[in-house]
Amino acid sequence: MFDVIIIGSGISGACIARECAKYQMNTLVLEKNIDVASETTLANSAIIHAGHDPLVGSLKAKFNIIGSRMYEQMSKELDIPYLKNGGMVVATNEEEIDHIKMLYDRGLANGLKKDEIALMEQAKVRQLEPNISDDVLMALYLPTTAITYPMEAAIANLENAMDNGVQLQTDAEVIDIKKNENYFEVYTSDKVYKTKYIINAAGLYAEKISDMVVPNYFKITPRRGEYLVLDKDVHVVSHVIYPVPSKKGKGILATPQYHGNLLLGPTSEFVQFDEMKQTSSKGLNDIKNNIKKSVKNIPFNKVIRTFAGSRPTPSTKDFIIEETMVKGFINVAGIESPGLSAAPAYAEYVVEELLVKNGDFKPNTSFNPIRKRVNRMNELSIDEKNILFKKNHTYGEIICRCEQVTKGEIIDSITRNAGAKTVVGVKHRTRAGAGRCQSGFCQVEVSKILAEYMHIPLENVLYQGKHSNIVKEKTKGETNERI
Amino acid sequence: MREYEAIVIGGGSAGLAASVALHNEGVTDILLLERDQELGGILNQCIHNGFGLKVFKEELTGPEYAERYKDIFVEKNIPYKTNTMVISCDKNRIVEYANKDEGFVKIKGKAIIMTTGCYERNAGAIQLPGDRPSGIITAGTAQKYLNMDGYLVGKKVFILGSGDIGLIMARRMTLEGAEVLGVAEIMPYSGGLNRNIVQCLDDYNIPLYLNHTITSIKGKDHIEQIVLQEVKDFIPIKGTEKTFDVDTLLLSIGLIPEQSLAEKAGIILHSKTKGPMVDESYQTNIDGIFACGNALHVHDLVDFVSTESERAGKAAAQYIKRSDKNVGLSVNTIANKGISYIVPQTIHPKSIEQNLELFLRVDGVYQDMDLVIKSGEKEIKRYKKRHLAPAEMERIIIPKQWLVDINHDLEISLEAMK
Amino acid sequence: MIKTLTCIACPIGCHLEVDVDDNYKVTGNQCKKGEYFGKKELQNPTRTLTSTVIIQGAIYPRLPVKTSDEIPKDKIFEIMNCLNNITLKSPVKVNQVIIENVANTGVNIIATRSM
Repeated sequence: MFDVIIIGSGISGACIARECAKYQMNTLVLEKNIDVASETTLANSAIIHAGHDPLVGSLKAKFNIIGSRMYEQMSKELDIPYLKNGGMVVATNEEEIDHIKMLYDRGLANGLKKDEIALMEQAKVRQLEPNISDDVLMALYLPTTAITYPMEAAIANLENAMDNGVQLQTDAEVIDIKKNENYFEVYTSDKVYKTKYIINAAGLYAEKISDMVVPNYFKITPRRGEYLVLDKDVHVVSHVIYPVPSKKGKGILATPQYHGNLLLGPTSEFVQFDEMKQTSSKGLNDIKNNIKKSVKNIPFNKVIRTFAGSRPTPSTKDFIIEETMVKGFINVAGIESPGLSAAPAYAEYVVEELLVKNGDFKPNTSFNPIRKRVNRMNELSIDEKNILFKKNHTYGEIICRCEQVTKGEIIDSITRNAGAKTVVGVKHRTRAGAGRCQSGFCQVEVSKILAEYMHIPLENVLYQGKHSNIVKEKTKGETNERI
Repeated sequence: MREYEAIVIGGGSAGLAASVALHNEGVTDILLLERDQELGGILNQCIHNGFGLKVFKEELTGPEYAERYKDIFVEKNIPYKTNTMVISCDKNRIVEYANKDEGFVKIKGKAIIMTTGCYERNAGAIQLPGDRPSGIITAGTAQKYLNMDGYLVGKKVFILGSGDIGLIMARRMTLEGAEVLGVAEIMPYSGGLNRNIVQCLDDYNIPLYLNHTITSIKGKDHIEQIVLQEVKDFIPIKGTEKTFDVDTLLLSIGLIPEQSLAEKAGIILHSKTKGPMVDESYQTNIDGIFACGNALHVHDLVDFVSTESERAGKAAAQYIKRSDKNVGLSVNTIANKGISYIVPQTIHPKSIEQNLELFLRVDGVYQDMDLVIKSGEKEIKRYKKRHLAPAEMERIIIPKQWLVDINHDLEISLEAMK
Repeated sequence: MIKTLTCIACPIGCHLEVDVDDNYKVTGNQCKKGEYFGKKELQNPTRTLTSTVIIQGAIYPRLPVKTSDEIPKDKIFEIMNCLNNITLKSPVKVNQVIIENVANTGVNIIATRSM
């Protein structure tokens, strides 16, 4: 019998799992996919927003402000990429100027301090960002805006939770939930788990999960956002550049990413579930056309990748974070922007206010908040690299040339808790395959390392999803196993 | 920090030829750094024919060609390291490399020759719309899995791009048991040689769809379908969609010089070739850093890589021995009508030794044209060309005496045959 | 009857016309190789086959090989079958004969590298 089962290992489930680990709770995270945090958390803008944008009094506003302030500490404890480079909402006409002035007031009302939000005249804007479009007249300056790497943020939270006793089961889609007197039965395709509490953090599928227990409580509509990724040698902007937002969302942003690439997007479209990961020529063209309003001189011939991410838009228009009328079943749903920014805050709220207060759980006095450092060789000096090399020679073998990732880093990413099980999983944890040649050079080697450390033949190594085998078969009917 | 006379980055056909040339000129303090477990570069996986027709006057396979150069290289006892990745090179010619025996090491070279080859353009670069499943792979990566490790990446294959790599893989995968359903080419002509259309596609009844491209990809975890569509002026024509059930999409959409070391070294790249701008001695804008082979501009014939790299090696040797004379006036090479690009981009007419080696590509398919070389008002030479195509790089040797007195840019263009 | 085909003897790829009824007379060629190819291609088409065979104990599990001369085009898959049924042990030297007189063609299979 578990105390808590968390359904979903995205940023919500991951942060909640870590909060649970701070108490003496028998906790299990169930994840539908082969790897964790592979849906909404994987594919978004990676921004920790300042908190200027959500409506005053909403859960989004409350948790955004608190959450964004928790990231710095969390990034130190969990060794998560975190870069506070600041952001600007740019206005190109009188109407937009009125809007950003309204956002200025809203930001203060939401709790931003006077040194965390300011209206900036165009001369200063251009000084900070020479490539800002000629149409920009004024900007809302948000110095606390930061960027992170969301999947790593989720993985780090999960790994730390697991290091402190939380269990994780991947490839475990929840297909049914039954409520008994004092506990729930949670069914996957091959197991039944018993638990006192359920936290539904299932993102795009939160409605589906919620319906298993409390029918027709809310609706989730998937919204797709397409993105363009530009090469690392593109240096166009250094802040996150937001256009004036519209009903559809924050608009098409130019976001420098933690590892140096420039991200353009997202678009915003309501689509069917099976279209969520698809990019479209229209979407990609919309990005190119719309970004010019805010930023000029973007070299579109430097696009190295495109992707589409999906956000669950709730019918309630705000986060749904509450225990339902079915005691013990807690929804953490409708987590669209600013979900990433807010997650550490609402995770703390869910565990402390909804679980611990009701369930009488004692603190875990042996909780260790520190995650073992991840060695990122391309960030170290030559002497630091050689210190690591002396301890372990696999840190001297460079596997991914474009991002300079070593074999040691790849092996570590597979063998840690919440480790990689797929080629894409390795990419997101180490950057191997995320560079200019998009794994053209290193995929063969990465697959072989996965095969070796997961003790499986190369034919069973997956790209990302359950049936995404990297190679089909050996030629010439060769059957003896070989790595 | 150990200083070498010459550091050669990359041990494929270019690096091997350049090193041998350096050695022949008396430079023996060389270190060649190769990232793979053996020398030979991409030739090791090019198991098909077509190499060596010019250099050896025989038709050889890639591995045979590589082995000939490897033998000469090894016989000369030129020092080299394998399984060694170069991480950076700066403008002072300090190179950092890493391997599992030494860790991270910095060395310096009097001269550096960059022979880092090229990489394949991928799906992101052309922004293929649709799902992003597994099963989409560049032709070269599929070739490595197949020819070196013995794995077929799939059995129902469609190929995007009719460059030679795509054509060669169409045949290769068919021979090893896959079904290749077709090759799509967005241009009205193939990017590969006619002989490859015959012996790779026609021989196996694999259809070539010119003026076509792939407009959509479908598949949840793994690719399941592609949508092929006809285009006019690169715009897909409504109503011409054709769906194919596949388990593999092979991309053969272009090669780009591997120049990730360029930014830190301050090397200026040419916008057309994507490789460094060089002069007739294959020296880049950075003193003492040379480039040749696919790292400079992507070649079709390895034979040309070898001749180019021999010259680069020889020039680097002269640089090292400080026996390069005062270079004198420099002029640019100008690609005019019909010409896509010329390498080298600048020349010093007075310091050409015996002759100038020029490489160029044309911008379309032409029959019966004159290739005209002039400088200022003076026509230097007019060559009659029966057949010209973008897929076939032209190599021109111009005797020194024709150039020694020029003081205007060297312009090359195509004109109607006189 | 005139048949048209592309010559594959060299990169130019001349368009040949071959008169089947007139002793396979070839026109459109720019050299003797083209004439030879035009005649042969319509009567007895041949190709060089390159492929790999399984090898054990070497740097890679596949050794690249080729036919030492051109073989009849219609024997390609039969020869592939012969190649797929052998397993070599390293070391092997370049040009070493792997199979003699493969599929009764009078042509050998030779290694194209040392491994």
